Amino acid sequence: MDLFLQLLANGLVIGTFYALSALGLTLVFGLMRIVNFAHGELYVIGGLLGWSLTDQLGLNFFLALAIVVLVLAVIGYLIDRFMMNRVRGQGEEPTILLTIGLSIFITNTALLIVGTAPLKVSSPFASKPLFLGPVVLTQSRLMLVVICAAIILGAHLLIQKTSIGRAMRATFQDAMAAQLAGIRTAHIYGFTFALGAALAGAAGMLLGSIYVAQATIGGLVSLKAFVVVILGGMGSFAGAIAGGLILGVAEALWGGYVATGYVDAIGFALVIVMLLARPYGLFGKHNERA
Amino acid sequence: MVFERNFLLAALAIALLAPLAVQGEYAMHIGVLIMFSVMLATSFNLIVGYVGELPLGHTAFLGIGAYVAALLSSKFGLAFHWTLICAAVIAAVFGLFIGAITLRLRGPFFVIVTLCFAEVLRLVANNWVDLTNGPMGISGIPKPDWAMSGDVLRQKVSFYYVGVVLAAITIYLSYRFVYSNIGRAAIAVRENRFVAQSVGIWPFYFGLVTFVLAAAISGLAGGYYAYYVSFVGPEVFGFSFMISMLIMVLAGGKGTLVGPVVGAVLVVLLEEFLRDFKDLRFSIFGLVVVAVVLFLPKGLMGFITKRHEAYKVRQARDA
Amino acid sequence: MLEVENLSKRFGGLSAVSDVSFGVKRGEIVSLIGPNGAGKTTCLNLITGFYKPTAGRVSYDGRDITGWAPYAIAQGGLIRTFQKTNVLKGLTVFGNVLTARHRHGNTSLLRAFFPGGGQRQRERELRDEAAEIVDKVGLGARMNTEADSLSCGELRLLEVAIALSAGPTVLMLDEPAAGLNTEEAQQLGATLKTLVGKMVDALLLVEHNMALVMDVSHRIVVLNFGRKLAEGLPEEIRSNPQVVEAYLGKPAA
Repeated sequence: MDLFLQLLANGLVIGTFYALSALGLTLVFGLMRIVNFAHGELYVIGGLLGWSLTDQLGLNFFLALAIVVLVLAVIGYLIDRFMMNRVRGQGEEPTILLTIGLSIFITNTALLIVGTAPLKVSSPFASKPLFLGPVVLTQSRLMLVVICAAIILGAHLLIQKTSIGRAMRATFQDAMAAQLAGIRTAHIYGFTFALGAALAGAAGMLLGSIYVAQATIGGLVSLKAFVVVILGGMGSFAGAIAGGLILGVAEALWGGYVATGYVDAIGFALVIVMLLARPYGLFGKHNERA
Repeated sequence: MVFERNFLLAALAIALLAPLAVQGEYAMHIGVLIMFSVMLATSFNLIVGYVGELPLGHTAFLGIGAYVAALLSSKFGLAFHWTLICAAVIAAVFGLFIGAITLRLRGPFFVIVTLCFAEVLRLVANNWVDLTNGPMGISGIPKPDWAMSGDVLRQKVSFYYVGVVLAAITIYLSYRFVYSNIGRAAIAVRENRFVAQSVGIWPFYFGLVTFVLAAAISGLAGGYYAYYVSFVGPEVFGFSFMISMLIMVLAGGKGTLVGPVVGAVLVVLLEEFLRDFKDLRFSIFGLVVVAVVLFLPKGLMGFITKRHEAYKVRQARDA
Repeated sequence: MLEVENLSKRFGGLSAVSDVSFGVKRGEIVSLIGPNGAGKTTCLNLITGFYKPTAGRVSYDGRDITGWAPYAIAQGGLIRTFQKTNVLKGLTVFGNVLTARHRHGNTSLLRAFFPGGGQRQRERELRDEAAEIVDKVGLGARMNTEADSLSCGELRLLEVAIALSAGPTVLMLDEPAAGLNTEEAQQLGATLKTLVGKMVDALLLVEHNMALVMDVSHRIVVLNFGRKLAEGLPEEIRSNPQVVEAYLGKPAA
């Protein structure tokens, strides 16, 4: 029983991390209908930038986080303005191909700059173990769960309660109507993509303080994020959280009770089952076109 | 149709005669890579251009073909032609299974789930050590009989001509497929599902037939590759082949039979040219993909046909 | 021949079609009319399998085809056109019509790879038949033009050609006269009348153009708010006060 609780706790912790790393992806899809295959690479940039700021330059963790968020937001805005903008309205394929090309470019360029070595973002939290009943968690992980939850909550409030969030939702429901209402849709597109990129980068840096920041993990991060988003439903906040937790717990339990080699495969198996049973995920919305 | 046929026949003639003009081991090596790439690009193009979806996990079938050939030849001593047939057939069976599941989905969902299948296969290849030797891979694949005699140059020439034959078979089957009632049905589904259904075409079925054919060709290519390189590891399911396939079909022009051939030649030559810049290679490839999507969406062949048509219109106008 | 019984379709809380029943007999031209939003196209979609009914039955030649997939229904001979012009944009006019001939062609992969003399002959016949149909609808001059360069009227002709090429027993046209002027609509009417009995067994028309409807129909079915309002001969419908009211409203008291 104790093993189960420990695995469950581990799973929930990892699940929260998965949820944050998938949030940017689901947002950009839900609002812009763009599937960003470079999502993992933006995460990687966040991690590597976070490492260079904290480890190499010795900056304060939270200051570095703010810088990472800002830089990634700018990168996201530029990507949207100069690439996605040119193929808007041409359907899904060009955006998929563009972001794939971008991901190839970013991964390799990052490899050239920092090499293949796994790096760590310097964390301000100690790795002290905390004992919550039969379960052991490190302080740093717990703090990170709190920060992740805070960011997820913040993003939710941004979209639901602020005027720019309203503008975003309006634009993606009906761009023409939004323009007529005075919303500068061109900026909204860029801002939304920037938000997605910033979330990816933040996740990259935060998780880089517990796991690794490495140039080559972009593909795996993207894939895991896709699993989360498909399980929970594309475009749904609650879905990203639910999907993340499910994936985290499933992996922890499988890894603990069965085998560790195929742990990654559990996510893919879940995706395949989900896409057959409920293609739109647990929380996804689908309308029969009248 | 006529242009395509003439182009392809000319390409075949050039391929057959090339070793007379360009000699040497290195040239033959490039030739083998080109033939392999033509098969791969044609197979990928069948799905991208004729089903209209992007199978980012297409390396699954390449890998299956390679592993089947490697296992059958090194563990069971099966002859070359038999292992290649098995490679194609088993890849086709996997294609049937995977296609039946993935073709229910469209757009990014299709992309992701095919990627998931390829990843699962890679994990299996990496972990099922008893069968696949895990990360160490299967090495020492025995050379086929016709490649045993003579010096290295002669062996490479033999590989090259076998490659030409396989590529020719691939293109023949694809050509027949595209210009048949079945190919027309697949194209109709790609163009407009509603129209296709309203004239009695079952979208899922024709997508599946195309998918299985593409898988078989990919498996064939994988088997050929395994013999040439004499080693198969889990990386064969990985992304580097995928990038090449993408660029070949995008740059050459998807949805045409000529495009993948042109793309294959271009990409192989490009990769060799960039061999010196090994580290920058993939960065450049990423930029190439972006550039092609933004500036040359119909690929080289599409660009050429558009210019040709514009030229004809101008000619008619000035006449 | 074609029987629709108690057909209903709900979209969430909206009842698009309620309890509609009618039939189309061999040799008939039946028109489905009604104000905008009456459910005419929805009915067509239900009959041809593009929507699944919430209740009711569709049967064809005695067979229950309710809920069949669209392609299966089309293979049975019920061919339709769409309200929004739907053609294969990337192909030429000839390519479109040849592709539509699919039901009459080979579906075996092996025979596609290794066509014998018989198969080659069949392909030639298919191509001739397709060219003939293109000429018959009047698009002969645009045989090798890309579909996306056609004018609006030509696109509608192409749609009809595609439907005819599929070899329908019952042809169902969704607003074929939309965007046509009086003369063009009259020509369409003449063409439709020649079709029945020769190329198709029966015709179901969804239409707004009253002149055309009155001219060609043997029977008319009127829908309003998803329900069947009236059914009968053209003269009966024309003088039916409920129908007039549905279209024009009640006169101010």
